Amino acid sequence: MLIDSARPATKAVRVPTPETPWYRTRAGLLLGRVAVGVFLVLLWWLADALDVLPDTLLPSPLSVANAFVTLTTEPDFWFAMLQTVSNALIALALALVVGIPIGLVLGLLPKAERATRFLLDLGRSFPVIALLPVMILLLGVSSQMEILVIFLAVLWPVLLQTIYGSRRLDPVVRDTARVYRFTLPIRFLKVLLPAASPFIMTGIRVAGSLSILVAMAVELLAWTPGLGSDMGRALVDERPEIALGYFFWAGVLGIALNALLQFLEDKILVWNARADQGATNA
Amino acid sequence: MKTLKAGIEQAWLPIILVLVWWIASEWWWHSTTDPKKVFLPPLSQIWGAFVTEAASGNLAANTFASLRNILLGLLVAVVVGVAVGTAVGSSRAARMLLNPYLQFARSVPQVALVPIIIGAFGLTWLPKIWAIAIACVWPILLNTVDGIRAIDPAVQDMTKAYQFTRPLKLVRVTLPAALPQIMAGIRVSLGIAVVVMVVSEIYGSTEGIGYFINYEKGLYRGPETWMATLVVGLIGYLLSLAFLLVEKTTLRWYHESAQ
Repeated sequence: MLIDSARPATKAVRVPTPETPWYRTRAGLLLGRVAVGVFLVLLWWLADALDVLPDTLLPSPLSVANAFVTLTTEPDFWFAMLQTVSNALIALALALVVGIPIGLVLGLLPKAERATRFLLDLGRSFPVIALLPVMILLLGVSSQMEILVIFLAVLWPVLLQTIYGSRRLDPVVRDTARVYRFTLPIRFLKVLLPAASPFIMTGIRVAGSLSILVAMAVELLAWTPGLGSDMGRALVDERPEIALGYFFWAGVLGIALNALLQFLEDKILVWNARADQGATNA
Repeated sequence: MKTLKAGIEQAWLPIILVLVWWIASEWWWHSTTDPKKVFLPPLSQIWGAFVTEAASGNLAANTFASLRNILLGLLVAVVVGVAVGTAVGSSRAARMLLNPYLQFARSVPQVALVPIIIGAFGLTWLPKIWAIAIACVWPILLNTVDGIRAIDPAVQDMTKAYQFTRPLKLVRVTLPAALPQIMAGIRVSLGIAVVVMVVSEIYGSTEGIGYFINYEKGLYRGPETWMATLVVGLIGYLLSLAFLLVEKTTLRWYHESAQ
């Protein structure tokens, strides 16, 4: 959870002092963090009171907090959130279904990987949101269009991470599977997929954050229904505090999705964490 | 000979795909009667649009505006990110206190700030640079913190033993040691910068390649819209290639020591 993990190299050298600094105790750290939060809000409040920034950019913290809470009482808000989340998740699921099999195969075949390298590099660095105007021309403004754009954006992290993972398969393991004449489906599901899964999970986590971001961007620019278009409407109505309320909820959504994917990763990859621990303890 | 073989191995598929696209789109264009086909123009028309717009200087002017916004926004993000990241990374207390806030700032979909910033400051280019800088600063900042935290304690003890002054330690030890991580952060931010550039120019602008795409789309001109979209993709690709080159030269010592 903390940035600071134990440093085995220095642990033995450092003499434990009887008085641990305040920020190393649980209560002290919590108090300190709350104090930082209060300080930030005070700074914001001060900036607002002194009119450092225009009100359209920085409304008072109280009005934003008010909007943030009030939103939760509106059914429309929950409906919009449901739409954003479901569009993002459908696109993510499609990216997994398409990206993982292709990635596994490309990782196994060096020739195919070399032939597609340029396309992969191009796709990875292509700002997919730029495809939005042509997608609107072709498909019109709809949730399907939004899902397609999100899919095209999140496919790359999944695909590329799968290729990395698949390429890393231990040759001994690969040969063993061949010697024992595992059938192809078993080789894929029981040998290749588990070996590549730590990399794939990283790709999925990156894709998860990206999916919310692209969903918000599409909704803001094309007004497809969801949190982004509601936020855009609040801005048009000159209610920046409501817009910021949506913005913070989008942040909460991003963090929640990231936490969920991290949780799934820890569940699915229990064996991986155990192997890591064994390696560091040895 | 070896490089030629590697080149062929990597080039044959893209070349074939472009040829297939050229021929198939031409064939499809002449055989279909669907009125919406104007939005899926053959590659020859897209190329024609590119030649016309490139000759008129229109494309170059818009590309220049976009590149300027990306580079200036990224520059601000690097300066702020490395400075604040160094300060936070050097203090264990600051790291632990600020961690949840920094993680939150990174997780928020920053593109959603674009309409707020443009709404407040208008359609000129300066607000777009702020938007790009605000979105790009977090990966750089967090990577700087991580890079400095990961410096070998023995190195820290060494600088103490030799009584390095603070500026000397910062320039000669701390920043070089964190540089690989910082560069990795900038690489992530470069991709974000291109996305925010496109979003800000589609949302509200009077110049730039994103504006160009949206303008041509508003006129329902298929070839021009497609052409500008592909140009943005090319810009993204070339920028990441250029950055790879920068990374290779600045981190040569790092890769050499790893061998």
